[in-house]
Amino acid sequence: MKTKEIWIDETMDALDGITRAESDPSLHEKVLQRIHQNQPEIVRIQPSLIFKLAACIAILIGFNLFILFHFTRSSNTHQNPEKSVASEYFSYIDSYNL
Amino acid sequence: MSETPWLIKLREGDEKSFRELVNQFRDRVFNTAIGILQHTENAEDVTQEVFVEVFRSVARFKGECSISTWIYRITVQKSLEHIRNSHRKKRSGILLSLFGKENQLNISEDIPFYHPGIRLENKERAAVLFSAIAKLPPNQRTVIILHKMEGLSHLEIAEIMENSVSSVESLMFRARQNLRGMLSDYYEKNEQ
Repeated sequence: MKTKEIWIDETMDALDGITRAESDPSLHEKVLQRIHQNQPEIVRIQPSLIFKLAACIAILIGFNLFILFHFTRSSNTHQNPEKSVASEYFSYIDSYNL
Repeated sequence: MSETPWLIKLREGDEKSFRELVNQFRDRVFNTAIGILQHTENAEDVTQEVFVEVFRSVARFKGECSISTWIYRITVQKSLEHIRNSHRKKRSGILLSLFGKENQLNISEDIPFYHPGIRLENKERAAVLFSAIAKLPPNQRTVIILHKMEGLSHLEIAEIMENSVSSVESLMFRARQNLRGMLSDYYEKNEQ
């Protein structure tokens, strides 16, 4: 137990006497490059992610268009019987000069 | 060097003054970043971001604290932001891996970190200590790094973190307790 406590104490002091890590000598030039390029931060996006997102959006739009088209056609079919009856009346009126 | 004329020149975008500022603070910023991030490339990246931020926001700096306090503050914020972004990428990486693609990440968890400035006889123990520091909550990690690696006093740390001295002392106490607990577990598993 005493050995363990000594080990912990010594490990807690392991950073004593540490010297500062030295930065890249060309830091200033790199900073100026970023400033002039107006580069706020590095964002890495995988191209495959973009393709997958585009595919999902295309499928959604296609599905919605299909539903809309199908719905529109169905609505027209339901309206047709009325239209055909009305046009039949008008054709009788025209035929018999009523 | 008196800060006020220097600040005026920095606000005017004087490149020579900016170069002097970078040269004066570069190692402090890098050393703090590498202590928090425990990854050389990420620390270099954050160091550049810090000085870009300094350049862009010096006009808004009103001198309410010293320039060094201000720069340390930006360094800590950028470093912790980098860690949060890495964790976010790690979570999305797990999701993407379900689609068969894994991201390359720079998270240094469980990878031993050897600081270049550690004395040779302390290298292995320092690596163990850094692993434990990496597991601390962000505020505790910050106070330990600023105190042990930059040699800052509790008052200076309190100014950087915009906390009271008693808060910093409390964070330091809890950080040490947590570190000792983790080291104790490590000792039980590995050193016996």
